[in-house]
Amino acid sequence: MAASRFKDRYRDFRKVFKQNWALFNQSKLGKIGLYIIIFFVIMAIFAPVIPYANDRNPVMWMAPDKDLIEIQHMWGSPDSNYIITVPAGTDDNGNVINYPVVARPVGMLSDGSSLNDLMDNGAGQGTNYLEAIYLSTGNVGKGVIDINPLDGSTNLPFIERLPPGHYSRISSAIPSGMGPVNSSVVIHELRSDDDGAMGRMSNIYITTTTGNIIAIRADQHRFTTSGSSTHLFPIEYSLLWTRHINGSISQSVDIFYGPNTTTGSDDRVLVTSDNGSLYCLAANTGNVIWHENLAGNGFFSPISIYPAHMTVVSSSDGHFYGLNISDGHEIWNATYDNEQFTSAVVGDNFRNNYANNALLFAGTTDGKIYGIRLYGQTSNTTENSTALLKKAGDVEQIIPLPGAQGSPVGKIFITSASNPWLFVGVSLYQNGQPTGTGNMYAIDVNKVGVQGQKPLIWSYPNTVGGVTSAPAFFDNRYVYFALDSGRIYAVKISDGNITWRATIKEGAHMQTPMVATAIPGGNAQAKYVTVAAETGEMSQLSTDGKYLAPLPPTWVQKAPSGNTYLLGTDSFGRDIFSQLVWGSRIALLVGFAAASLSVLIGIIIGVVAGYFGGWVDSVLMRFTDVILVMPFLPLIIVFASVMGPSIWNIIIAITLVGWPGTARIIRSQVLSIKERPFIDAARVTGASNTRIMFRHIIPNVMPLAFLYMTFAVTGAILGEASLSFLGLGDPTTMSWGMMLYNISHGSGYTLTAWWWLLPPGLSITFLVLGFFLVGRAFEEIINPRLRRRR
Amino acid sequence: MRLREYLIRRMIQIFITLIVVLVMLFVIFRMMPGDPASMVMSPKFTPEQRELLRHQFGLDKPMWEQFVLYMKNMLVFNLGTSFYYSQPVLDLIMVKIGPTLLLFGTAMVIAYVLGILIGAVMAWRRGSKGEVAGIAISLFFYSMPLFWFALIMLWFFASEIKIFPISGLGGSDPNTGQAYPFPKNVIDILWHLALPLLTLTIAGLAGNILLMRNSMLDTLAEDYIVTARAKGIPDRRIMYRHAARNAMLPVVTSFAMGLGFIISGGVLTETIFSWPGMGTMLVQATLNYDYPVVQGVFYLIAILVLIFNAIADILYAYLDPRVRL
Repeated sequence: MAASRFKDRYRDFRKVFKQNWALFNQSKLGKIGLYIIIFFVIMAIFAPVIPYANDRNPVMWMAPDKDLIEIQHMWGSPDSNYIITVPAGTDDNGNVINYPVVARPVGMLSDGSSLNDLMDNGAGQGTNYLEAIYLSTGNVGKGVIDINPLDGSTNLPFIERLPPGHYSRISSAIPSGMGPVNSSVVIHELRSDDDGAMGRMSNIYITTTTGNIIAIRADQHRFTTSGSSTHLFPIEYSLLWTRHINGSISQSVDIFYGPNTTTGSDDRVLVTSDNGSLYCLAANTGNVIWHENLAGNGFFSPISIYPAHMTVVSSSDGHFYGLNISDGHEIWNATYDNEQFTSAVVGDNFRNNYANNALLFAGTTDGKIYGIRLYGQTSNTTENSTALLKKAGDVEQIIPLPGAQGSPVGKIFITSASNPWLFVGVSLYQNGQPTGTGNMYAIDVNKVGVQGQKPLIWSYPNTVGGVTSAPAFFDNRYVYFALDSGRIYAVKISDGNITWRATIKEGAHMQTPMVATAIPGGNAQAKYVTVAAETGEMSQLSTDGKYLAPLPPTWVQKAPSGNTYLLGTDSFGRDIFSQLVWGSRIALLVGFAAASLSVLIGIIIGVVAGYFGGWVDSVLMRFTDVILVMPFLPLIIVFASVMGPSIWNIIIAITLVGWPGTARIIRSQVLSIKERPFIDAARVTGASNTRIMFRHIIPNVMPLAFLYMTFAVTGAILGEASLSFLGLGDPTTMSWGMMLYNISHGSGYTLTAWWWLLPPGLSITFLVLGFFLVGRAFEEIINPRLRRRR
Repeated sequence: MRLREYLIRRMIQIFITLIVVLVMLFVIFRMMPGDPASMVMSPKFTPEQRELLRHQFGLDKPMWEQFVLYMKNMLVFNLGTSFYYSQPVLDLIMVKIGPTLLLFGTAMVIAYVLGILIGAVMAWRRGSKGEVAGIAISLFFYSMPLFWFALIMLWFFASEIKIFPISGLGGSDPNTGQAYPFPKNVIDILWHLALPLLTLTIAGLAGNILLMRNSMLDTLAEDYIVTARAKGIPDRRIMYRHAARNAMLPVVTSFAMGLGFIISGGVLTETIFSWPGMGTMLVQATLNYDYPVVQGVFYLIAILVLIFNAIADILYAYLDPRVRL
């Protein structure tokens, strides 16, 4: 019985299908549309087995650096002859151990000054060149090396120096038993210690986790012979003083240059232990000037605020202090203990002018930057009744970094040049786990706290490593980010686009790079960037590398690695063809899912409204009208931004906005169907309302519903593309709209990379066209009157 | 008499729909993530300041009271103050509405006039090679994502052959920001207008051609056309006087309905050409969670669409006496 019923059904279905297929076959355009759809469906189904697209994950895959980067390693490159790996040494007990590098390289210039000063000022000093690079290592006791920074090709006949990359003698000046060295080495420039003719002097400060501060004197003799020719000897190192304080020190010291600039006698060294013991020491003797115990935990390095004669120190649990440098007297304090901070505050404008709007910046563990007032506001300048007299330590503005919610902000770097900008990296976390990716941001300090201004200038998303160390900056060309994945990125300051990158040691944590002109007579343009991995690899690169992506298709221009990029790559170096193939899945998924859902809702609402009539109809139709009078795309945008970026949310958003059109059509159809005799017959035989609706009405509106579904698919595909294009798409998948978003947002290549611009748009057009043609053919089947249009 | 009755009925309907629109907007924007006031508040505010602000925005009141206040304000077009710009929403809209009307109004008029002409001719020459090509091209443009087409236009006209500027409204010196004197500013604005206008016109044209062609084909099959032919009236006269005039009806009503959506514009087109209009503002406001602006714009669009829909219906009844209101 059941079987024969099934057979009957099957026969009916075949008959109907055959008839309609014959009708459909008459429509040439309809067939073309069907072929187009089938083409894309095959593409989507076989995406995982297309061998070419398969091993190029459209979100993660990237062309090898060989194809993307053109860069010169000065030394230290894995494939050059100047390999620098910090070598093994012996500890106090005579055991051979490897030195893991724990600090950023720090450079000393030939006039004895630290390169950090240059970086802060954003300009190079004409004739000075890089004399030594210091690198602290995690070894017990003897943990600092110095490295001759110059490559062999530089012609400096008047300098007696060691071969390039040679490491040497500073460790011997460090006494035994001082404990593991940490963080950064700090160079203290003793300016004009003599008249400059006989030599240069600096102090170098090293801190250890056991609470020791070690001061080393770096001494360099030189003779000035006839004219300007100078004869320099290698630097000699000797122990100056050591000091032990209570608690562990995991941060570097800070130097406060006193008003007496000739001897360094009133220069101060400021150092905090992790648990809040703040010491102010005399730089030349190590004597304690004053000492304060501050509340809080996990303290960072202090910073010096010159005009206010102040040192500012902060802790990871949200305590901020401003103290008088002479006596340790507290000027202000502030507590934001509902946040966890990731690194020491940085300040702007603190060197030269007592700016009323000077700010301190601190990053949090959940993707925000606090802009904190450094000075109190003396007058109420805004007329706005809500403006307050602000005190030092008050928050001026909290800057949320887009896309970084819940992720720890890396160390911040600020340029104090005329146009102060902040650069910061973020390591992205998801559910408390690092995702191995990170973003880089540039913020205009002048726009922080100004109403109606957006401080964020650009952001650069990267998929190959978080950014925890501070970025480095030298001239106005690039900012250099070292990633936790063993890479260094040079990002163009003007627009945030990557210019070049290099891999130093795959997977190794990197420290803040050091940038230098490093040649005699060098101008303000950075020549070299030096970067060290925590596993001991170190490299110096020329700064004028080139980034070649987006790569044109291989048939236009061959790639050095021998890879084939059928349609070239995008600006990240990701293969476009793979993206295109995988994007067809998203387009079809969104198209079919959103269209079926919205037609389903449309059928239910339309049938219920049409069948029951009366107030049910009125209520439902008013509701339908409401959505119909709203503009389609802006409404989807609102829904999608409420629900957050995920492909299912996009489907839901399109469904919510897409159903009313169908509902209206179905309702009008139902109005005519329900007046027909067979409905009356069903009612007379005692069929319930539900039965009449589902067994008698819905089967009769199905052809119409099916027709509207094909049109709804086109709307859904275009809707998804538009949403993704606005940046509301799902970042974990690659859709055609997303490809167009990537090309037009921040990449700067919209107008050159035709191989990137054309394929996704053409794919959308053809798929939509396919559904549209099929829909028209259906329409002719359902509404025979239309057939004469041909 | 009948018209008056109809108008009254329609007005009531419009009013009810508007009320539902307002309720829906209220619900949507209270659903949005975060406290709306947190957008304007920063932690630097003292608790008293926060309270004051919440009071200003009426957020300290119970939900139903907020709702009543909201309805009152919206009905008298007090659209509130933008969180982001701290300016009344209505003022913001007034600034942005000009460029949008200029761009989309012009594009729409051109697209409809050309669409009606081309569509009529295509239907008349049904079956010819030119018509098939015309349909194929129209269908292609009709299926195209508008924002991608805009990018292509930018790529070709602004970058490859460099005859149009990349973005902006124009009218002032890009270096100094100073407004140009009279004849030059108009020329500059027109020059900036050209590319977005061309893009929108071409994109709108495709749909109108298809609509007009279909309508025209329906009309051409009517008996009175056959009669006219039998009477020996010249083809040209049949086409324009007899067929096209009647075939225009659905196109004209679609024009009237489309007018309501002009405000929301091609939100993406404006964004791409950096045209400082309502579309750009709407997208920015949504992405910035600037609820009062989005709410206000949606409300105005709803009113316009409802009014123009009513006008379209009345117009249709006026133009086609077979249709009764």
